[in-house]
Amino acid sequence: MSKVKDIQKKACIKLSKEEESYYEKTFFDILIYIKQITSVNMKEDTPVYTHEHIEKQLREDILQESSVVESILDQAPQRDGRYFKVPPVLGGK
Amino acid sequence: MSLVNKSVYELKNSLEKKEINSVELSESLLSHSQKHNKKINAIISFNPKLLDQAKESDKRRATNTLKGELDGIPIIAKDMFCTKGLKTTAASKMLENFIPPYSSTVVKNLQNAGALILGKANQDEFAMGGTNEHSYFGNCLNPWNTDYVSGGSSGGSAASVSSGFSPLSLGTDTGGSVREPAHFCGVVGIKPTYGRLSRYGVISFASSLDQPGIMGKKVKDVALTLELASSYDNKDATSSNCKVPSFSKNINSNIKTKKIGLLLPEDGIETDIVNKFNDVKNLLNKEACKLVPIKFSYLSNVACVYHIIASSEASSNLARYDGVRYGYSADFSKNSAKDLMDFYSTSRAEAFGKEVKRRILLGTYVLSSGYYDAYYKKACQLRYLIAQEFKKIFQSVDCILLPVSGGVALKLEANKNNVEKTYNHDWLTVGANLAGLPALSVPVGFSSNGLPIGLQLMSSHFQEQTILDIALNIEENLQVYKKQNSFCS
Repeated sequence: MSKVKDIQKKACIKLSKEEESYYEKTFFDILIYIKQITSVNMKEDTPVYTHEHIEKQLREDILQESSVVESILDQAPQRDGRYFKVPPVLGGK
Repeated sequence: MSLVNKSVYELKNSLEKKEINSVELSESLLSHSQKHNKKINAIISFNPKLLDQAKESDKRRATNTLKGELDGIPIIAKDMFCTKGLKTTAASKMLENFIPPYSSTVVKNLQNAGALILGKANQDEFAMGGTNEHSYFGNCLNPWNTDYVSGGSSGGSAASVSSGFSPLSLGTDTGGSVREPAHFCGVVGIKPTYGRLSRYGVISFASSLDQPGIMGKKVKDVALTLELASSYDNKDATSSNCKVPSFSKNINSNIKTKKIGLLLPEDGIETDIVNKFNDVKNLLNKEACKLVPIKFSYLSNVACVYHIIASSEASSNLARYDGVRYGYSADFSKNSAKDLMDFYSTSRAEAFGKEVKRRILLGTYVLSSGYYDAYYKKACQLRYLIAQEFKKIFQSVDCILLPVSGGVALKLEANKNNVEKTYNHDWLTVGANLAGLPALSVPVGFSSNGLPIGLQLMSSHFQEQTILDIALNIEENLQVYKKQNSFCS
Protein backbone atom coordinates (compact mmCIF):
# COMPACT_ATOMS: atom_id res chain seq x y z
CA MET A 1 0.00 0.00 0.00
CA SER A 2 1.34 3.45 -0.86
CA LYS A 3 2.21 5.89 1.95
CA VAL A 4 -0.49 8.40 1.05
CA LYS A 5 -3.16 5.72 0.70
CA ASP A 6 -2.35 4.51 4.20
CA ILE A 7 -2.17 7.99 5.76
CA GLN A 8 -5.37 9.33 4.22
CA LYS A 9 -7.33 6.68 6.13
CA LYS A 10 -5.74 7.72 9.41
CA ALA A 11 -6.22 11.40 8.55
CA CYS A 12 -9.85 10.78 7.61
CA ILE A 13 -9.57 12.47 4.23
CA LYS A 14 -10.88 10.58 1.20
CA LEU A 15 -8.60 11.60 -1.67
CA SER A 16 -9.51 11.20 -5.30
CA LYS A 17 -7.17 9.17 -7.55
CA GLU A 18 -5.73 12.41 -8.99
CA GLU A 19 -5.15 13.86 -5.54
CA GLU A 20 -3.57 10.63 -4.36
CA SER A 21 -1.04 10.71 -7.17
CA TYR A 22 -0.36 14.45 -6.60
CA TYR A 23 0.29 13.98 -2.88
CA GLU A 24 2.32 10.82 -3.52
CA LYS A 25 4.74 12.94 -5.57
CA THR A 26 4.96 15.93 -3.22
CA PHE A 27 5.03 13.71 -0.14
CA PHE A 28 8.29 12.20 -1.32
CA ASP A 29 9.84 15.71 -1.44
CA ILE A 30 8.46 16.56 2.01
CA LEU A 31 9.87 13.36 3.51
CA ILE A 32 13.31 14.16 2.11
CA TYR A 33 12.97 17.66 3.57
CA ILE A 34 11.95 16.57 7.09
CA LYS A 35 14.48 13.74 7.13
CA GLN A 36 17.22 16.34 7.77
CA ILE A 37 16.09 16.39 11.39
CA THR A 38 17.20 12.79 11.93
CA SER A 39 20.82 13.73 11.23
CA VAL A 40 21.02 16.39 13.98
CA ASN A 41 23.12 15.11 16.86
CA MET A 42 21.89 15.53 20.39
CA LYS A 43 21.80 13.65 23.68
CA GLU A 44 19.05 11.05 23.88
CA ASP A 45 17.79 12.43 27.18
CA THR A 46 17.36 16.00 25.87
CA PRO A 47 14.10 17.32 27.36
CA VAL A 48 11.17 18.23 25.13
CA TYR A 49 10.18 21.90 24.97
CA THR A 50 7.55 23.37 27.28
CA HIS A 51 6.53 27.03 27.66
CA GLU A 52 8.52 27.64 30.84
CA HIS A 53 7.79 31.37 30.79
CA ILE A 54 4.11 30.82 31.52
CA GLU A 55 3.06 29.94 35.06
CA LYS A 56 0.69 27.02 35.14
CA GLN A 57 -2.82 28.35 35.64
CA LEU A 58 -5.06 25.70 37.14
CA ARG A 59 -8.64 26.37 38.14
CA GLU A 60 -11.60 24.41 39.41
CA ASP A 61 -13.80 22.94 36.71
CA ILE A 62 -17.04 24.65 37.66
CA LEU A 63 -20.26 23.85 35.85
CA GLN A 64 -22.00 26.95 34.53
CA GLU A 65 -25.23 27.54 32.69
CA SER A 66 -24.52 28.16 29.02
CA SER A 67 -26.46 30.73 27.08
CA VAL A 68 -25.15 29.65 23.70
CA VAL A 69 -26.49 26.08 23.41
CA GLU A 70 -29.11 27.03 20.83
CA SER A 71 -26.75 29.11 18.70
CA ILE A 72 -24.19 26.29 18.73
CA LEU A 73 -26.79 23.72 17.71
CA ASP A 74 -27.95 26.11 15.00
CA GLN A 75 -24.52 25.76 13.36
CA ALA A 76 -25.00 22.01 12.92
CA PRO A 77 -25.53 20.88 9.33
CA GLN A 78 -28.38 18.69 10.66
CA ARG A 79 -29.94 18.62 14.09
CA ASP A 80 -32.79 16.88 15.85
CA GLY A 81 -33.90 18.86 18.89
CA ARG A 82 -30.89 19.05 21.19
CA TYR A 83 -28.95 16.41 19.22
CA PHE A 84 -26.54 16.66 16.29
CA LYS A 85 -27.72 14.43 13.48
CA VAL A 86 -25.60 12.37 11.10
CA PRO A 87 -26.88 10.80 7.87
CA PRO A 88 -27.98 7.15 8.03
CA VAL A 89 -24.95 4.90 7.66
CA LEU A 90 -26.44 1.46 8.26
CA GLY A 91 -28.97 1.35 5.48
CA GLY A 92 -31.55 3.43 7.36
CA LYS A 93 -33.54 6.30 5.86
CA MET B 1 -10.27 65.98 4.72
CA SER B 2 -9.06 62.55 3.63
CA LEU B 3 -9.32 60.08 6.46
CA VAL B 4 -7.45 57.33 4.66
CA ASN B 5 -3.92 56.64 5.94
CA LYS B 6 -4.27 58.54 9.18
CA SER B 7 -2.68 56.95 12.20
CA VAL B 8 -4.76 55.90 15.21
CA TYR B 9 -3.42 58.84 17.21
CA GLU B 10 -4.29 61.29 14.42
CA LEU B 11 -7.81 59.87 14.20
CA LYS B 12 -8.24 59.91 17.99
CA ASN B 13 -7.19 63.54 18.00
CA SER B 14 -9.61 64.47 15.20
CA LEU B 15 -12.45 62.63 16.94
CA GLU B 16 -11.67 64.30 20.27
CA LYS B 17 -11.59 67.76 18.67
CA LYS B 18 -14.88 66.92 16.92
CA GLU B 19 -13.32 67.65 13.51
CA ILE B 20 -14.82 64.34 12.43
CA ASN B 21 -17.21 61.81 13.92
CA SER B 22 -17.11 58.04 13.82
CA VAL B 23 -19.86 57.77 11.19
CA GLU B 24 -17.90 59.99 8.79
CA LEU B 25 -14.72 58.05 9.50
CA SER B 26 -16.41 54.66 9.06
CA GLU B 27 -18.18 55.73 5.85
CA SER B 28 -14.91 57.04 4.46
CA LEU B 29 -12.89 53.89 5.23
CA LEU B 30 -15.70 51.60 4.17
CA SER B 31 -16.15 53.23 0.77
CA HIS B 32 -12.37 53.39 0.25
CA SER B 33 -11.90 49.72 1.08
CA GLN B 34 -14.93 48.56 -0.92
CA LYS B 35 -13.63 50.45 -3.95
CA HIS B 36 -10.11 49.01 -3.82
CA ASN B 37 -10.82 45.57 -2.41
CA LYS B 38 -11.83 44.37 -5.88
CA LYS B 39 -8.23 44.85 -6.98
CA ILE B 40 -6.37 43.24 -4.08
CA ASN B 41 -8.98 40.97 -2.42
CA ALA B 42 -7.83 41.77 1.12
CA ILE B 43 -11.26 41.56 2.75
CA ILE B 44 -13.49 38.47 2.77
CA SER B 45 -16.54 40.13 4.34
CA PHE B 46 -17.58 43.57 5.54
CA ASN B 47 -19.47 44.22 8.76
CA PRO B 48 -23.02 45.22 7.72
CA LYS B 49 -23.61 46.85 11.12
CA LEU B 50 -20.52 49.09 11.03
CA LEU B 51 -22.38 52.36 10.50
CA ASP B 52 -24.94 51.58 13.23
CA GLN B 53 -22.08 50.82 15.59
CA ALA B 54 -20.36 54.07 14.55
CA LYS B 55 -23.58 55.96 15.37
CA GLU B 56 -23.55 54.38 18.84
CA SER B 57 -19.95 55.50 19.28
CA ASP B 58 -20.87 59.07 18.32
CA LYS B 59 -23.69 58.99 20.89
CA ARG B 60 -21.21 57.87 23.55
CA ARG B 61 -18.89 60.70 22.58
CA ALA B 62 -21.73 63.23 22.78
CA THR B 63 -22.69 62.00 26.25
CA ASN B 64 -19.11 61.68 27.49
CA THR B 65 -19.49 57.92 28.05
CA LEU B 66 -16.71 56.65 25.80
CA LYS B 67 -15.77 53.01 26.18
CA GLY B 68 -12.03 53.55 25.81
CA GLU B 69 -9.06 54.70 23.80
CA LEU B 70 -10.20 53.30 20.44
CA ASP B 71 -13.81 54.45 20.56
CA GLY B 72 -15.18 54.92 17.06
CA ILE B 73 -12.08 53.67 15.22
CA PRO B 74 -12.66 50.94 12.60
CA ILE B 75 -10.23 48.02 12.55
CA ILE B 76 -9.97 44.83 10.49
CA ALA B 77 -9.63 41.32 11.95
CA LYS B 78 -8.15 38.31 10.18
CA ASP B 79 -10.86 35.73 9.52
CA MET B 80 -9.30 33.47 12.17
CA PHE B 81 -10.80 35.61 14.96
CA CYS B 82 -14.29 34.60 16.03
CA THR B 83 -16.58 37.62 15.84
CA LYS B 84 -20.03 37.17 17.35
CA GLY B 85 -22.70 37.38 14.66
CA LEU B 86 -20.16 37.92 11.85
CA LYS B 87 -19.03 35.13 9.55
CA THR B 88 -15.65 33.66 10.50
CA THR B 89 -14.39 31.40 7.75
CA ALA B 90 -10.64 30.80 8.29
CA ALA B 91 -10.68 31.31 4.48
CA SER B 92 -11.95 27.74 4.13
CA LYS B 93 -14.89 26.13 2.42
CA MET B 94 -15.16 24.14 5.66
CA LEU B 95 -16.29 27.26 7.57
CA GLU B 96 -17.75 29.22 4.64
CA ASN B 97 -21.02 29.83 6.50
CA PHE B 98 -19.86 29.66 10.12
CA ILE B 99 -21.25 32.42 12.34
CA PRO B 100 -19.66 32.21 15.80
CA PRO B 101 -21.89 32.60 18.84
CA TYR B 102 -19.12 34.46 20.68
CA SER B 103 -16.15 36.74 20.04
CA SER B 104 -12.51 36.00 20.69
CA THR B 105 -11.05 37.63 23.81
CA VAL B 106 -8.71 39.85 21.77
CA VAL B 107 -11.60 41.16 19.64
CA LYS B 108 -13.71 41.62 22.77
CA ASN B 109 -10.93 43.55 24.54
CA LEU B 110 -10.58 45.90 21.58
CA GLN B 111 -14.35 46.29 21.28
CA ASN B 112 -14.42 47.09 25.00
CA ALA B 113 -11.96 49.88 24.17
CA GLY B 114 -14.47 51.11 21.58
CA ALA B 115 -12.95 49.70 18.37
CA LEU B 116 -15.38 48.83 15.57
CA ILE B 117 -14.93 45.85 13.25
CA LEU B 118 -14.93 47.08 9.64
CA GLY B 119 -14.42 43.65 8.08
CA LYS B 120 -12.73 40.28 8.13
CA ALA B 121 -9.41 39.89 6.35
CA ASN B 122 -8.36 37.34 3.75
CA GLN B 123 -5.66 34.83 4.68
CA ASP B 124 -4.25 31.44 3.80
CA GLU B 125 -6.75 28.71 4.67
CA PHE B 126 -6.54 27.95 8.41
CA ALA B 127 -3.42 30.19 8.42
CA MET B 128 -1.41 27.54 6.56
CA GLY B 129 0.84 29.29 4.06
CA GLY B 130 3.19 32.20 3.62
CA THR B 131 1.81 33.85 0.48
CA ASN B 132 -1.99 34.15 0.84
CA GLU B 133 -2.31 31.95 -2.25
CA HIS B 134 -4.14 29.24 -0.30
CA SER B 135 -7.43 30.98 0.42
CA TYR B 136 -10.79 29.50 -0.60
CA PHE B 137 -11.76 33.10 -1.44
CA GLY B 138 -8.86 33.72 -3.84
CA ASN B 139 -5.40 35.26 -3.58
CA CYS B 140 -4.81 38.49 -1.70
CA LEU B 141 -2.46 40.60 -3.84
CA ASN B 142 0.33 42.93 -2.81
CA PRO B 143 -0.88 46.56 -2.95
CA TRP B 144 2.59 47.77 -4.01
CA ASN B 145 2.50 45.58 -7.12
CA THR B 146 -0.37 43.24 -7.80
CA ASP B 147 1.86 40.76 -9.66
CA TYR B 148 3.30 39.89 -6.26
CA VAL B 149 1.91 38.12 -3.20
CA SER B 150 0.86 39.99 -0.07
CA GLY B 151 2.53 37.37 2.11
CA GLY B 152 0.85 35.08 4.55
CA SER B 153 -0.85 33.86 6.23
CA SER B 154 -2.22 37.23 7.44
CA GLY B 155 -1.92 38.74 3.94
CA GLY B 156 -5.31 40.46 4.00
CA SER B 157 -4.58 42.13 7.34
CA ALA B 158 -1.25 43.52 6.07
CA ALA B 159 -2.58 44.56 2.63
CA SER B 160 -5.57 46.30 4.28
CA VAL B 161 -3.43 48.49 6.52
CA SER B 162 -0.95 49.14 3.71
CA SER B 163 -3.81 50.30 1.45
CA GLY B 164 -5.40 52.55 4.05
CA PHE B 165 -8.51 50.38 4.55
CA SER B 166 -8.03 50.77 8.31
CA PRO B 167 -5.28 52.09 10.57
CA LEU B 168 -5.02 48.76 12.40
CA SER B 169 -5.59 45.09 11.83
CA LEU B 170 -5.39 41.83 13.73
CA GLY B 171 -3.46 38.85 12.44
CA THR B 172 -2.24 35.56 13.82
CA ASP B 173 1.35 34.38 13.81
CA THR B 174 2.15 30.67 14.03
CA GLY B 175 5.46 30.77 12.16
CA GLY B 176 5.79 34.35 10.94
CA SER B 177 2.28 34.99 9.63
CA VAL B 178 2.15 38.56 10.96
CA ARG B 179 5.78 39.59 10.46
CA GLU B 180 6.25 38.26 6.94
CA PRO B 181 3.19 39.93 5.32
CA ALA B 182 4.02 43.09 7.31
CA HIS B 183 7.48 43.00 5.66
CA PHE B 184 6.01 42.30 2.21
CA CYS B 185 3.40 45.08 2.46
CA GLY B 186 5.41 47.74 4.32
CA VAL B 187 3.59 47.92 7.66
CA VAL B 188 4.51 47.34 11.30
CA GLY B 189 3.57 43.90 12.63
CA ILE B 190 4.13 42.46 16.09
CA LYS B 191 3.86 38.91 17.37
CA PRO B 192 3.92 39.25 21.15
CA THR B 193 5.27 36.72 23.63
CA TYR B 194 3.32 33.44 23.53
CA GLY B 195 0.72 33.86 26.26
CA ARG B 196 0.57 37.68 26.14
CA LEU B 197 -2.61 37.71 24.02
CA SER B 198 -5.37 35.20 24.63
CA ARG B 199 -5.93 32.51 22.00
CA TYR B 200 -9.55 32.02 23.14
CA GLY B 201 -11.84 32.35 20.15
CA VAL B 202 -9.00 32.26 17.63
CA ILE B 203 -9.40 29.30 15.29
CA SER B 204 -6.65 26.84 16.14
CA PHE B 205 -3.88 25.82 13.76
CA ALA B 206 -0.95 24.78 15.98
CA SER B 207 -1.83 25.58 19.57
CA SER B 208 1.68 25.65 21.05
CA LEU B 209 2.81 28.14 18.38
CA ASP B 210 -0.29 30.24 17.57
CA GLN B 211 -0.29 33.81 18.86
CA PRO B 212 -2.50 36.73 17.84
CA GLY B 213 -0.62 39.73 16.49
CA ILE B 214 -1.22 43.36 15.61
CA MET B 215 -0.46 45.36 12.48
CA GLY B 216 -0.49 49.09 11.94
CA LYS B 217 1.17 51.83 9.94
CA LYS B 218 2.84 53.38 12.98
CA VAL B 219 4.71 51.81 15.89
CA LYS B 220 2.87 53.88 18.52
CA ASP B 221 -0.50 52.65 17.19
CA VAL B 222 0.67 49.07 17.52
CA ALA B 223 1.98 49.71 21.05
CA LEU B 224 -1.36 51.16 22.17
CA THR B 225 -3.36 48.35 20.60
CA LEU B 226 -1.13 45.65 22.09
CA GLU B 227 -1.71 47.15 25.52
CA LEU B 228 -5.49 47.21 25.02
CA ALA B 229 -5.70 43.71 23.53
CA SER B 230 -3.66 42.07 26.32
CA SER B 231 -5.27 40.50 29.36
CA TYR B 232 -5.04 37.37 31.44
CA ASP B 233 -7.80 35.03 30.27
CA ASN B 234 -8.88 31.98 32.25
CA LYS B 235 -10.47 30.62 29.08
CA ASP B 236 -6.99 30.06 27.61
CA ALA B 237 -4.87 27.66 29.69
CA THR B 238 -1.68 29.17 28.24
CA SER B 239 -2.64 32.78 28.92
CA SER B 240 -0.05 34.52 31.07
CA ASN B 241 -0.90 36.56 34.14
CA CYS B 242 2.29 38.59 33.69
CA LYS B 243 1.50 42.28 34.27
CA VAL B 244 0.66 44.22 31.08
CA PRO B 245 2.90 47.30 30.92
CA SER B 246 1.56 50.57 29.59
CA PHE B 247 3.39 50.17 26.28
CA SER B 248 1.86 53.37 24.88
CA LYS B 249 2.97 55.56 27.81
CA ASN B 250 6.37 53.94 28.29
CA ILE B 251 7.35 53.99 24.63
CA ASN B 252 10.60 55.88 24.16
CA SER B 253 12.79 56.21 21.10
CA ASN B 254 15.88 56.95 23.18
CA ILE B 255 17.68 53.64 22.83
CA LYS B 256 21.17 54.72 23.84
CA THR B 257 23.26 51.87 25.34
CA LYS B 258 20.84 49.15 24.22
CA LYS B 259 22.73 45.98 23.35
CA ILE B 260 21.62 44.66 19.99
CA GLY B 261 22.67 41.30 18.53
CA LEU B 262 23.10 41.38 14.76
CA LEU B 263 22.03 38.18 13.04
CA LEU B 264 22.67 38.40 9.31
CA PRO B 265 23.08 34.94 7.73
CA GLU B 266 25.89 34.69 5.19
CA ASP B 267 23.74 32.92 2.59
CA GLY B 268 20.16 33.14 1.42
CA ILE B 269 19.64 36.89 1.82
CA GLU B 270 19.05 39.14 -1.22
CA THR B 271 21.39 42.12 -1.70
CA ASP B 272 18.63 44.72 -1.22
CA ILE B 273 17.91 43.29 2.20
CA VAL B 274 21.60 43.04 3.16
CA ASN B 275 21.99 46.71 2.20
CA LYS B 276 19.02 47.80 4.31
CA PHE B 277 20.29 45.69 7.20
CA ASN B 278 23.64 47.50 7.01
CA ASP B 279 21.91 50.91 6.82
CA VAL B 280 19.95 50.14 9.98
CA LYS B 281 23.08 48.80 11.65
CA ASN B 282 24.80 52.16 10.94
CA LEU B 283 21.77 54.03 12.23
CA LEU B 284 21.75 52.06 15.50
CA ASN B 285 25.47 52.64 15.83
CA LYS B 286 24.89 56.41 15.55
CA GLU B 287 22.21 56.10 18.23
CA ALA B 288 24.94 54.79 20.56
CA CYS B 289 23.61 51.23 20.75
CA LYS B 290 26.11 48.51 21.46
CA LEU B 291 26.12 46.19 18.46
CA VAL B 292 27.25 42.59 18.73
CA PRO B 293 27.38 40.17 15.77
CA ILE B 294 25.78 36.86 16.79
CA LYS B 295 25.35 33.39 15.31
CA PHE B 296 22.48 30.97 15.76
CA SER B 297 23.56 27.38 15.36
CA TYR B 298 20.13 25.86 14.61
CA LEU B 299 19.21 28.31 11.84
CA SER B 300 19.33 25.63 9.15
CA ASN B 301 17.02 23.32 11.14
CA VAL B 302 14.38 25.66 12.58
CA ALA B 303 12.00 25.55 9.61
CA CYS B 304 12.06 21.75 9.53
CA VAL B 305 11.42 21.54 13.31
CA TYR B 306 8.61 24.04 12.91
CA HIS B 307 6.88 22.19 10.07
CA ILE B 308 6.98 18.86 11.90
CA ILE B 309 5.47 20.35 15.08
CA ALA B 310 3.00 22.67 13.34
CA SER B 311 1.71 19.93 11.02
CA SER B 312 1.37 17.49 13.92
CA GLU B 313 -0.66 19.95 15.95
CA ALA B 314 -2.71 20.91 12.89
CA SER B 315 -3.63 17.30 12.15
CA SER B 316 -4.91 16.98 15.71
CA ASN B 317 -6.65 20.39 15.89
CA LEU B 318 -8.41 20.03 12.56
CA ALA B 319 -9.79 16.62 13.50
CA ARG B 320 -12.72 18.52 14.99
CA TYR B 321 -14.05 19.30 11.50
CA ASP B 322 -16.09 16.19 10.88
CA GLY B 323 -19.18 17.57 9.14
CA VAL B 324 -21.41 16.84 12.13
CA ARG B 325 -21.34 19.68 14.64
CA TYR B 326 -20.53 22.69 12.49
CA GLY B 327 -18.97 23.56 9.18
CA TYR B 328 -19.27 21.83 5.82
CA SER B 329 -21.09 18.52 5.55
CA ALA B 330 -21.01 16.28 2.49
CA ASP B 331 -24.35 15.73 0.79
CA PHE B 332 -25.46 12.11 1.14
CA SER B 333 -29.11 12.73 0.35
CA LYS B 334 -28.94 10.61 -2.83
CA ASN B 335 -26.39 7.92 -1.94
CA SER B 336 -25.99 6.96 1.68
CA ALA B 337 -22.52 6.82 3.18
CA LYS B 338 -20.91 3.40 3.51
CA ASP B 339 -20.23 4.03 7.16
CA LEU B 340 -19.53 6.91 9.51
CA MET B 341 -15.86 7.06 8.47
CA ASP B 342 -16.96 7.43 4.84
CA PHE B 343 -19.15 10.35 5.89
CA TYR B 344 -16.37 12.07 7.86
CA SER B 345 -13.65 11.55 5.27
CA THR B 346 -15.86 12.67 2.36
CA SER B 347 -16.89 15.87 4.19
CA ARG B 348 -13.25 16.65 5.02
CA ALA B 349 -12.04 15.85 1.50
CA GLU B 350 -14.65 18.09 -0.12
CA ALA B 351 -14.06 21.07 2.19
CA PHE B 352 -10.33 21.28 2.93
CA GLY B 353 -8.01 22.88 0.36
CA LYS B 354 -4.82 21.44 -1.08
CA GLU B 355 -2.32 22.88 1.42
CA VAL B 356 -4.46 22.07 4.46
CA LYS B 357 -4.81 18.46 3.29
CA ARG B 358 -1.05 18.25 2.73
CA ARG B 359 -0.30 19.44 6.25
CA ILE B 360 -2.87 17.15 7.86
CA LEU B 361 -1.37 14.21 5.95
CA LEU B 362 2.15 15.20 7.05
CA GLY B 363 1.08 15.66 10.67
CA THR B 364 -0.71 12.33 10.68
CA TYR B 365 2.38 10.64 9.24
CA VAL B 366 4.88 12.04 11.75
CA LEU B 367 2.59 11.22 14.68
CA SER B 368 1.96 7.67 13.54
CA SER B 369 3.49 4.67 15.23
CA GLY B 370 7.05 4.04 14.08
CA TYR B 371 7.72 7.67 13.08
CA TYR B 372 6.75 9.54 16.26
CA ASP B 373 10.17 9.22 17.96
CA ALA B 374 12.18 9.91 14.82
CA TYR B 375 10.25 13.03 13.85
CA TYR B 376 7.82 14.51 16.37
CA LYS B 377 9.72 13.71 19.57
CA LYS B 378 13.02 14.73 18.04
CA ALA B 379 11.51 18.00 16.82
CA CYS B 380 10.22 18.74 20.35
CA GLN B 381 13.70 18.05 21.78
CA LEU B 382 15.31 20.29 19.17
CA ARG B 383 12.74 22.93 20.01
CA TYR B 384 14.03 22.80 23.60
CA LEU B 385 17.63 23.30 22.38
CA ILE B 386 16.56 26.18 20.13
CA ALA B 387 14.82 27.89 23.07
CA GLN B 388 17.89 27.33 25.26
CA GLU B 389 20.14 28.94 22.65
CA PHE B 390 17.89 32.01 22.50
CA LYS B 391 17.91 32.15 26.31
CA LYS B 392 21.70 32.22 26.27
CA ILE B 393 21.79 34.93 23.60
CA PHE B 394 19.40 37.13 25.59
CA GLN B 395 21.71 36.94 28.60
CA SER B 396 24.11 39.18 26.70
CA VAL B 397 21.87 41.30 24.41
CA ASP B 398 18.55 43.14 24.81
CA CYS B 399 17.36 42.46 21.32
CA ILE B 400 18.26 40.72 18.05
CA LEU B 401 18.08 42.47 14.68
CA LEU B 402 17.61 40.08 11.74
CA PRO B 403 15.88 39.98 8.35
CA VAL B 404 12.25 38.84 8.25
CA SER B 405 12.83 36.83 5.13
CA GLY B 406 15.58 36.18 2.61
CA GLY B 407 13.82 38.29 0.00
CA VAL B 408 11.03 40.73 -0.71
CA ALA B 409 7.51 39.69 -1.79
CA LEU B 410 7.48 36.78 -4.23
CA LYS B 411 5.84 36.83 -7.62
CA LEU B 412 2.54 34.98 -7.63
CA GLU B 413 3.05 31.19 -7.92
CA ALA B 414 6.85 31.60 -7.65
CA ASN B 415 7.28 28.57 -5.35
CA LYS B 416 4.31 26.62 -6.68
CA ASN B 417 6.07 23.31 -7.33
CA ASN B 418 8.93 23.55 -4.88
CA VAL B 419 8.05 22.10 -1.49
CA GLU B 420 11.48 22.71 0.05
CA LYS B 421 11.50 26.40 -0.95
CA THR B 422 7.93 26.82 0.28
CA TYR B 423 8.62 25.18 3.64
CA ASN B 424 12.02 26.84 4.14
CA HIS B 425 10.57 30.23 3.30
CA ASP B 426 9.93 31.09 6.99
CA TRP B 427 13.35 30.06 8.34
CA LEU B 428 13.96 33.50 9.89
CA THR B 429 10.60 33.90 11.62
CA VAL B 430 9.73 30.49 13.07
CA GLY B 431 12.42 30.66 15.78
CA ALA B 432 10.39 33.24 17.72
CA ASN B 433 7.34 30.95 17.63
CA LEU B 434 9.26 27.84 18.64
CA ALA B 435 10.71 29.66 21.68
CA GLY B 436 7.57 31.74 22.43
CA LEU B 437 9.49 35.01 22.02
CA PRO B 438 8.12 38.42 20.99
CA ALA B 439 9.18 39.68 17.55
CA LEU B 440 8.27 42.58 15.33
CA SER B 441 8.70 43.64 11.71
CA VAL B 442 9.36 47.33 11.08
CA PRO B 443 9.51 48.92 7.60
CA VAL B 444 13.01 50.12 6.69
CA GLY B 445 12.73 50.97 2.99
CA PHE B 446 12.18 49.56 -0.49
CA SER B 447 13.93 47.18 -2.86
CA SER B 448 15.27 48.18 -6.27
CA ASN B 449 11.97 46.97 -7.80
CA GLY B 450 9.90 49.11 -5.44
CA LEU B 451 8.72 46.48 -2.98
CA PRO B 452 8.75 47.13 0.77
CA ILE B 453 11.45 45.78 3.08
CA GLY B 454 11.00 45.23 6.80
CA LEU B 455 13.52 44.09 9.37
CA GLN B 456 12.82 41.95 12.38
CA LEU B 457 13.50 42.72 16.04
CA MET B 458 13.27 39.97 18.67
CA SER B 459 13.59 40.16 22.43
CA SER B 460 13.23 37.88 25.43
CA HIS B 461 9.89 36.85 26.95
CA PHE B 462 7.56 39.74 27.82
CA GLN B 463 10.11 42.35 26.68
CA GLU B 464 7.88 43.78 23.94
CA GLN B 465 8.71 47.28 25.18
CA THR B 466 12.33 46.86 24.06
CA ILE B 467 11.44 46.03 20.47
CA LEU B 468 8.74 48.71 20.33
CA ASP B 469 11.24 51.35 21.51
CA ILE B 470 13.87 50.34 18.96
CA ALA B 471 11.24 50.11 16.20
CA LEU B 472 10.02 53.61 17.08
CA ASN B 473 13.57 54.94 16.80
CA ILE B 474 13.98 53.32 13.37
CA GLU B 475 10.58 54.65 12.27
CA GLU B 476 11.34 58.22 13.40
CA ASN B 477 14.73 58.18 11.66
CA LEU B 478 13.71 56.55 8.38
CA GLN B 479 10.06 57.75 8.07
CA VAL B 480 9.29 55.00 5.57
CA TYR B 481 5.55 55.37 6.31
CA LYS B 482 5.54 58.63 4.31
CA LYS B 483 5.70 56.69 1.05
CA GLN B 484 2.25 55.35 0.19
CA ASN B 485 1.12 52.82 -2.40
CA SER B 486 -1.29 53.75 -5.20
CA PHE B 487 -4.32 52.32 -3.33
CA CYS B 488 -3.93 54.90 -0.59
CA SER B 489 -5.29 57.81 -2.60
